[in-house]
Amino acid sequence: MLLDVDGMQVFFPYDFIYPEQYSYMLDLKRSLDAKGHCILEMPSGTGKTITLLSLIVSYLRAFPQNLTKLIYCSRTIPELEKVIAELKKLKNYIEKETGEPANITGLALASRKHLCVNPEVSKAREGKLVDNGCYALTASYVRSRAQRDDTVPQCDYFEQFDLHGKEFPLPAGTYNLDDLREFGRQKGWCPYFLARHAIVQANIVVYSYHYMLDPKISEIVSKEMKSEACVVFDEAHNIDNICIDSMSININRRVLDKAKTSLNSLHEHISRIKESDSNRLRDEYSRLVEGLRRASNQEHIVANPILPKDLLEENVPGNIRTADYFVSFMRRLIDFLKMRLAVTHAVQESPAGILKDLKNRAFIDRKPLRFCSERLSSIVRTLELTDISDISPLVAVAHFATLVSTYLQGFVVIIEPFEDKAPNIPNPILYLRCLDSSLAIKPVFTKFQTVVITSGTLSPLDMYPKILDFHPVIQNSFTMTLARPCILPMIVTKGNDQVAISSKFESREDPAVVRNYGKLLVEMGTIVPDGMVCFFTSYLYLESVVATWYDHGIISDLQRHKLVFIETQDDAETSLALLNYMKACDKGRGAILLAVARGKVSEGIDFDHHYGRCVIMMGIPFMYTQSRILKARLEYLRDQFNIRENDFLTFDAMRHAAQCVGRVMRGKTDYGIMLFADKRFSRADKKSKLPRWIQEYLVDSKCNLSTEEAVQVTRPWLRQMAQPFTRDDQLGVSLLTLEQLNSASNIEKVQKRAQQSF
Amino acid sequence: MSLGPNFCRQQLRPGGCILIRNVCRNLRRLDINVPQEEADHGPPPRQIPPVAVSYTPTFRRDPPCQQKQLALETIAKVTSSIPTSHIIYVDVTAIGYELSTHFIWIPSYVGVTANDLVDRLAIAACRLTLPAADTLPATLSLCKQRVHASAHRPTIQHRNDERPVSVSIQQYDHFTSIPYKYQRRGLLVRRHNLVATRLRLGYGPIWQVGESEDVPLYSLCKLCDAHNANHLQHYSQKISPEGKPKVQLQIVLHDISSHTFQFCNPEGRDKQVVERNLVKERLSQLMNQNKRQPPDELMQKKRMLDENEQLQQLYRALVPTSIISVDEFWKEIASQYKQTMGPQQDVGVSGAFLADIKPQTDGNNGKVQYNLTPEIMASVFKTYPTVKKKHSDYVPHRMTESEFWTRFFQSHYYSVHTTSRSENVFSECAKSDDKEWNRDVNSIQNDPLYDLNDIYDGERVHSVEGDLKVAGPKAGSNIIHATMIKRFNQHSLNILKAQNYSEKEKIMDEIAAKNPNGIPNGEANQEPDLHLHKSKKVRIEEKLSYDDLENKANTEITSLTIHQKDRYLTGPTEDTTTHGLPPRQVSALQDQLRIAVDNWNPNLHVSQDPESAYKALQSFSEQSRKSRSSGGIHGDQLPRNLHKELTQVYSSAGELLRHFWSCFPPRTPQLQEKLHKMHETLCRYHAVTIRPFHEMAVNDYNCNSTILDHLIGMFNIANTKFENWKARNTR
Repeated sequence: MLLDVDGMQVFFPYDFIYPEQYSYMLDLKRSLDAKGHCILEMPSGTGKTITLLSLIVSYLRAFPQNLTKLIYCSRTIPELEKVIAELKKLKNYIEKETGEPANITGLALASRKHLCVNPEVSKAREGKLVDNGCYALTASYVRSRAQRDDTVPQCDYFEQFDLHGKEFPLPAGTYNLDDLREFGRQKGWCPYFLARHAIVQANIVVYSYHYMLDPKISEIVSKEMKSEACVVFDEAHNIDNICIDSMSININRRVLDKAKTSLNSLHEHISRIKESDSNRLRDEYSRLVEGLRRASNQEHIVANPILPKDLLEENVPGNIRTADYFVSFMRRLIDFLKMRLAVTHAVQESPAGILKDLKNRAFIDRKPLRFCSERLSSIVRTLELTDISDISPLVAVAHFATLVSTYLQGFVVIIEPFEDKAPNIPNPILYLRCLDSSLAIKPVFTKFQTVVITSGTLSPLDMYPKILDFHPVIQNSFTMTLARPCILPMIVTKGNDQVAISSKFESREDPAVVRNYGKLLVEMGTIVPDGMVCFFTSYLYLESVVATWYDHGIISDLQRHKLVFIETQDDAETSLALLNYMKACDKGRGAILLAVARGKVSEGIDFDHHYGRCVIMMGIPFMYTQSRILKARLEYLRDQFNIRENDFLTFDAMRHAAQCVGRVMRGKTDYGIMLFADKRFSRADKKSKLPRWIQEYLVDSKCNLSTEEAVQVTRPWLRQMAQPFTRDDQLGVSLLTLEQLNSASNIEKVQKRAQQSF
Repeated sequence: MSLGPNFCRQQLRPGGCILIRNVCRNLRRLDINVPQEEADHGPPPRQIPPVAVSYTPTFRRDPPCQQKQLALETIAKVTSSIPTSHIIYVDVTAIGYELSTHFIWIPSYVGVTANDLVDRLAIAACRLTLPAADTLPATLSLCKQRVHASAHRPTIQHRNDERPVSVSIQQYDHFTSIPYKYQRRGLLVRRHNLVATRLRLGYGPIWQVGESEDVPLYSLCKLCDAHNANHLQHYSQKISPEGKPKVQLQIVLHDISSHTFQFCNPEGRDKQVVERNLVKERLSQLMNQNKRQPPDELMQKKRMLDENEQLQQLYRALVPTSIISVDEFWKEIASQYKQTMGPQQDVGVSGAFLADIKPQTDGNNGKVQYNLTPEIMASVFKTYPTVKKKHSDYVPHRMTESEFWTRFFQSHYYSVHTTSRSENVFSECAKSDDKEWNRDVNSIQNDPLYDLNDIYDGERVHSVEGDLKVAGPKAGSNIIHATMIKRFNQHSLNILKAQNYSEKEKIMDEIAAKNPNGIPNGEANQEPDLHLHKSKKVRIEEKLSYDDLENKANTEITSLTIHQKDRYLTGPTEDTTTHGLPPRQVSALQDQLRIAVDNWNPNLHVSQDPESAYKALQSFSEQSRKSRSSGGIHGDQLPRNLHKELTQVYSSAGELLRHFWSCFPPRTPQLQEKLHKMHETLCRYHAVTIRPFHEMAVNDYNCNSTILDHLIGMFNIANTKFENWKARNTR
């Protein structure tokens, strides 16, 4: 239908619309008008993506001078595909409605692994191998060598693209990964580089978070984007962790050893070249004297971990300009790190402390350290190394040096002699952790005019502006209008024997608690049809609980009703279990999946409709609070952002819990039970941090149930939900037609709802 | 003022008359029709003798719950048998006022416990002969005591007499000792009232109804979770060990109670053992029979009849009239219906089939015993094909059946947490299972939506994560637990697969049944797989569609199942003659054809005239022949009942005839036998059903007597055919 949102015509490819979608559009439009950032929480499964797309695409059409581009960042490959599919639907609708081709170019970008069509390279299954294979065929020096020598293999697709494709704009349309590959095959052009090239011109770009947030990649990929763009982070509830991870480096002894060997081979290489072709090194030296900017005008092979514009204006300091000096410099650095790794107790230090220590013991200044990774990439280019993966440990060390010397604030260096889980085997690891999630995302906020952070679970909303350090113009949380209570959140606090159930550390191993958890699962398993998912707080807990359940015969009770699948630490095995779980649900056999909150299952997989009629959250998924990294971060948050430790921990735990249970809903015709099984969930501080759309249906009478009470509540509810549910039931309440939407009273109501949260 | 019948009635006062008239008018305006009770209601309640407490003849040796139940029922009967009178008196005085008023008399004390009591006491007091005044001081309390005593004497006496033997009295005492406890609608009720009511309303077994604290002695049946299920199939038997002097057989019920039989044949121990073994064998056969024979076979048949109306009619027409025997009916006729009903679904494997095998110890010599049923063995074989293979390899050449299963129980299949795989028969199985598992793990990497490895697109340019991982099992996790979890996953996966296998086999069988001499084609094998693996695009579409947002009427499209793809795709073979035509000739042919079409005009006088054509058609069509011969009586013109019966007769006769004709040509002896049988059946059917029907139709409905001519004609044809065949055969 054609909507009128705040005076602008919006193409919406469906005949009906949910009221909250309309409110969402209103808010989004206001924030686009204001050219500011916004945070919007909308319940999962209410068509967030299509709402976003249809409003922004319509905006792009209506005000091309204000907004030229939409950059849609999502987390997983299936998500990317879904976004493109929605876009395709929207495009078809616009074309049908206007009768002329919609001039939209939308494409998805993913790593080489997903896009490569070179028959040799794409055979490798692992992303890293594909990358290496690609480098080996397409690096500039390889190509220049190939021009001299025919025997050097090249990638035809890349050559073709380089010859013809660069001037050729991608024809308008929507391209998902398969389409790109198909297009590339037809034309004989490399789809990856085609996509990399095309994202500059395209209206809509869909890619993963890393292309935007990870400074190493965003420098390469997203540098040329114009600032009149709208950046959308979908499923952004975890954005701070991604920011932090993208700027953190871990180094252990094995990494250092490998770095040492690759440094030695580098050295040999240098001496060999010195004999054969000393000019090349001299050229490099002179270029470095002129300045890094000039030196790095070629493509990036080894990316720089720090942010742009800080560094490139300066010249490389003299003591690492020559290759020999640089090698010995690196050797000293590695030796120093090795020495630091030999500790017997955990050490926590600030970057400044490390720098001082470096100065005192290894006589290394701060300034050359900052240029480490830049210098390394230069030398790799000069030496024409093809196999990048060999030097990756060396690159890690170089990145460490650059980061530690660039940021004196917001980072911490922690050296731990043992791993947490195996406290007897010495396995020292050096963590360089970013503590400030705003560092990585700051350039995004400053560069682009509108950044939309959205997810199904962002509560409490005020936390995100604080930890990401920005000022949203709009900040809103939408609830779900429902014609029938199709979500059933419950808090089970005790078992049938009235023993409180809780996953807190003191009581989690208590046999009574474990048994009560098992009984709860069995009871729910007997009455809930089709699929059930159960999330545990950690993998270790899952393992021990399953073992106890096996001893008590609870597992066989479960098996009597459903097939049992369990997430393991091996991704492939888990995928297999997941696939079979889905298959069992499809067959109508019913199955239970035991998974881990914060695991991969909890983040990327939807359990909609019969794949998940019930999600049980066993305990509150707190982070491992004894970890030093977490402690350092909490301390930093307290000092810098004024966030109390407990607040942050609860916030983090609850967002993961909400994320887990939110997987069960997909659309208003779906229904599902959300069962929180922990005594602590019923406390106000936990409950109030759930998203509003869940809180709304979490009435007080369902906040303190025992197992059998929960069963009592569930039984009639399931019966009610299983009744046929038609559109007419929804119409006017949770579903609007165009006429209903246009009636004045309704607009008022919708606007009032939108305003409610302010 | 009493309204008893013996009361001398006074004349109504004028005001009373007006009152009655007003009441009556109001009543009449309400227009309620209250029919007069006609029955004799017996004497008024006062004259009914008080109910004596009756006792149930239960005894201590009865099972306790039966005792309780009977007792409670009796108590309920007694307490609820207070006669509430509903005798209606006709007020004679009101007759003069052109109306008759009926009054219902209910003694006021009825239903109120205390009033009842008072009433009883009053009656007793009236009957009490007062003693002489001088013998005892006539205090009120003493009088009361005596009245009480005499009112209750017969009851109490009786009760005291019976108390030692009657359980119900003890029970009653027990219950009366319980205070009023439950509040129902403002009335305080004792527990037994509640229980009795619930029993009458058909609640569950007594110990559930009574919510009694003492749990009944009967434990749950361990096999079927039912209460009190001590049927033969729930027994297990044990025999005394070899060395013992006594030869015994013990039958253990599910509630652990047991019966021991000692064999005492005077001919000596060996004979006793033989006898014992015979009994044991017989018993186990019986047990198995009881177990195997599903009572749902009957239910299944019934369901089939219910679902299929035509079949039910046939059954009614043929079986009760003993035209055809029951077995034959199911074998011959119903089997065809079964085929038309489509494939039946297999029962899958229960997820907990291994958990159902519970080890049991027989208390004395510490042996552990596993009960294996054929179903469980079938499930094991279905789920673990490798075990099946092993079984066929080893049994009975290398080890006995029981040895094999003992090993099985010691293996990792049953005890999931064991990891020791020393010299076991099943270690090889484990290896091949692991191989299978790895293959599965690798095979799913093509699935784009659920491959967790692949789900994040991390272009971490040079990550060193690979180097950080510790080799071996994941840090910290317990290896035993990890293998256990893996086994669970494997188990569930295998169960799913077992289902797939059987489905696939089924489909294969069907294909084979449909074209028995067809070439087995490769495509058919993969077809079931195709349904399971939807393409990625379709699945993404599925994930995206909001069916409530879209205004689309989805039409059900029946899917086309192609068993022989080649045939479908290639179509009829090309005509080779047209193939070789040169293009010039084609155009010439086209022209010719066009001219022929243009110049065509119908040549009507060659074709048959409509009259004779119609006749020919009629003579071909059975239906029209019938309508002609029956003088134009259409089905619509028949009375409805007759029409319905006629259809039934036709359908059952048609069925029989079909079976009859299907025997031709009778080449095999079986077919000949069947032919004979069918002929007999037909004759019987003719005698039992058709003739009476014909008579009825002619006599009761005045139908034309030719109504059944067509049917009888069919019978005659069949008969002559049979006679001919027989004559030819005997010659």
